[in-house]
Amino acid sequence: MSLSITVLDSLAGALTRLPRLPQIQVIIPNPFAPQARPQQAATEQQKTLREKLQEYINNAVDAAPLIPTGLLEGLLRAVPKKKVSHRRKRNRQLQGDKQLKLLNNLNRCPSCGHIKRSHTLCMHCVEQIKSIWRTEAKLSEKEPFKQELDPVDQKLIYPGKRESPYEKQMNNKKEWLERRQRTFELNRKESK
Amino acid sequence: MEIFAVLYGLSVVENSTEKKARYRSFILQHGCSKKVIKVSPNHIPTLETLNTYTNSCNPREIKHRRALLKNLVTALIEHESITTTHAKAKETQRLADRLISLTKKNDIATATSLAQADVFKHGQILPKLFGELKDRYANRVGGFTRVLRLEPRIGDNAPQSIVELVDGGREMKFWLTARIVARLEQQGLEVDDLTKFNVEQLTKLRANGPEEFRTLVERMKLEFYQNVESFRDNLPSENLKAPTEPQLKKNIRFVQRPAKAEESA
Ligand SMILES: [Zn+2]
Repeated sequence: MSLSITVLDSLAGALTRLPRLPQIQVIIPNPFAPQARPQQAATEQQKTLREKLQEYINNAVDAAPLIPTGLLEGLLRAVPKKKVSHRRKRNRQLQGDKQLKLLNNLNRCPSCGHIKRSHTLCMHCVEQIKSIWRTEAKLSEKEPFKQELDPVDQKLIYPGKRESPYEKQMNNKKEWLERRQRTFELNRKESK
Repeated sequence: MEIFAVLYGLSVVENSTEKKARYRSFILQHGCSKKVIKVSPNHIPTLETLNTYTNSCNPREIKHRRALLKNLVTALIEHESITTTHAKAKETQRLADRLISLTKKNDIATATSLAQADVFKHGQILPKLFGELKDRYANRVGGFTRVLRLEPRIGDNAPQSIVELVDGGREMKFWLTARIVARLEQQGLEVDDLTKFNVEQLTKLRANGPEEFRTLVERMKLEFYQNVESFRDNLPSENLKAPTEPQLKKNIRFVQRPAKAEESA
């Protein structure tokens, strides 16, 4: 046993000493890699670009975003292959179920006289009654318990909130919240 | 294996009663799907078949849906009127009707224990259900709730509706009808047939209904029709009729529900 091991060891040692082929190396030149440019004085065009960039950084708020002018724009982005023809476009946009439909189930609200859908309640009248309920609930509510505090403690415990201009803007819900429009009124004179 | 068979709706033919019992317990725990209903239609509890607006076999989804429904019913009993989408409203109506008809059972202990499973806020809701609501609906056999359609919701255009407890403090139909009667009286017009019918239906089984209706009409006059001259032109009159004449359900006869043999015995 011991003999055979020594023989193997010597063989392995001999193998390592044998001459080897050099390792294969394939190098593909990277076209996008930054090339080492010879440092020259900036040309006039480059100068103007730099100036432009500096300007942009200086007043970034008002400046228009710089449009990158690359040659690869048209090559790499997905774009439709052909122009959609007039007929195709009109066919798509004026499909039967995409058009506005007529409402034939219209009625008159018996309490306010405006138009409403049949078998549904008039939202205006419902909202008015709901608002009555809301005011009733507010009146019946108990006032929350208020502890009397030192002015100093008051300031410490309730420091108040400083609203950002955006929050202030959003507080005025009437400006941005979408509200239900009132339906048209059925005029007695017109309908006679 | 049996559990997976039920989960994926495989048609496994089982004859032994033990395995059937195991199916039943699984369905009780996790709800059921349409496919499972086909397997054993007799053993499914009524409250677990609440899959009408989404059909799913996923236990987690079913639990979530159950909790949603419980919340809706709790809110309905607490506030007497809620506004949701139409599908949810119909489901809530079904469960609420079933809960109120539970209060009519002779054995109150089992009824309360059954009602507990479908409601949150036990301390608040159960006394109301078995006290106030039981008394209110003592003369009614069914139809304890009402669903009224509304315009679709702004934003996602989902069909909305109101669920309300009949003869409650916040009955929208009661209030709207009072408003209509107030308008007609202020204009000096006669109350039309449909409104008359509605008033009769609304005040018939309500505790001192006619007086309440009268006070509400007077309130509505002050609230909305104080100065009739200013908007006389806009209000509907006898000349303005609905495009389609309302038809009353005159041919329907109401028959009393026959009493159950077990309860009477
Ligand atoms: Zn109206």
